[in-house]
Amino acid sequence: MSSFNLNKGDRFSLSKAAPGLTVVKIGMGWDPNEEPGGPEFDLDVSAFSIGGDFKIPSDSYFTFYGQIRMGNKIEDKVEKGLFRPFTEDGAIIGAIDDPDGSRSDGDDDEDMFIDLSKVSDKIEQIIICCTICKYPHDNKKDRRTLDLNFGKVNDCYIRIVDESNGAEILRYDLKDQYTNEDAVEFGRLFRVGESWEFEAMGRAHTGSLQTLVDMYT
Amino acid sequence: MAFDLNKNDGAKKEPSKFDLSKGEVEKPAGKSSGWLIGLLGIMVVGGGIWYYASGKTDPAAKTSAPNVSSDQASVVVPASPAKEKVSGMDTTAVAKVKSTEIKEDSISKTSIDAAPAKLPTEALKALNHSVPVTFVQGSSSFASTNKTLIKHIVAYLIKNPTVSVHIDGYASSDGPIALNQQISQARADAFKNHLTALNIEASRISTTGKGIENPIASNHTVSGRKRNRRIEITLL
Repeated sequence: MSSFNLNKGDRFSLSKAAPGLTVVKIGMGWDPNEEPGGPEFDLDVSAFSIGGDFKIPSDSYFTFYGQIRMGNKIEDKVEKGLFRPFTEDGAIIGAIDDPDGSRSDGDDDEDMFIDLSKVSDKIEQIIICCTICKYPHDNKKDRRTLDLNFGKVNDCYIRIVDESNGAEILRYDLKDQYTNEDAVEFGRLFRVGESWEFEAMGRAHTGSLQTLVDMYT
Repeated sequence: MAFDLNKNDGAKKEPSKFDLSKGEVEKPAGKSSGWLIGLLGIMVVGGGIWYYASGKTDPAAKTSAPNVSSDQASVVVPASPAKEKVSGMDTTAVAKVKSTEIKEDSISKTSIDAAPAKLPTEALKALNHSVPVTFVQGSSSFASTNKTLIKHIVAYLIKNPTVSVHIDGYASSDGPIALNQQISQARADAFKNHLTALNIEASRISTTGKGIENPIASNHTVSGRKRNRRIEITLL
């Protein structure tokens, strides 16, 4: 099966493209234009699983690095000793946090896994986001991170892979030019009857992850 | 329930119900270094008072006094940073490199410290042909940097002043061959400049632009071409 390249606003039926699809890998990548001696670029992938009221039904449905601290975590199957956040319905296993980018030597910079068959009935859509971690939330409390934005990040993409056979189903390359935005809703998975579709959103915000938290909680 | 959105220990000030901080790794280091500094201060002051008092009252203590000061020196640790300062590296930077190594890879730190004069085979394998940075398409600007690896390389070069490093620059297959040759050389030179900015002498660094040779990933995919825009180092 060949992969489909989506443009902003495109919708794609996962269930039609890959009948019987259950577990998908969401892979995301980027190339921050990091200057030697400059502030560290720390990009994070998160997901908001929201109901009909556009809010998460409970805390664990905000899949982000902080869930590890909150106890909603599971050890990675390959990288022992590293943990991923997961939702209480067991459907989403989030990304391993990689503050300094040292794990980013493979194809995707960060990835998460979604078992579509396990998603709670309370959830109508899953918003996949990427945000830049900035002061005062960053590890090093570096005020220079306040100047970082997606205008300094190249080649952002999101792709969906059928985890059962490794085949890439679709891909969306973010082509918009951003100037001061630091949070992007890459795409969303949403229910259409019994099946799932994906929409390439590419919706950018300022205020980093906090803005998205305020929107969906 | 409140969510912690911070990545550091400053979460208490965050009004959000989520805590976005990532500071779990940093916390213990901060606490332990503060505790160490406090202990060190007490020991230095206490040792000084004891040395001064015992030196005045009991002549026999004169022999033990030097032992106290040498003990302090061993607790203080910076015997080795002092050596490194001679080699030209900023002491703070060395301390930073060391603490990161302890957190991230105690094995490689041990091997580097234990055999400073000769590169152990395992460490050699880990550093040689490693890819510390990748580059933006058509440019010699860094796209991603493996800071941990760079710290290891710099720490090793500082500890081993006779070792030199060769940098091979590479390009993806995008664009004309002649241009890729130039860009690969520029990338090798850019990483050389980065190392010299980290106090490695330019005379110890050689560079070659290898063009589109030796791809480490497929040039038929975007992600493969990203990986091929790189430099590799070899310690000599």
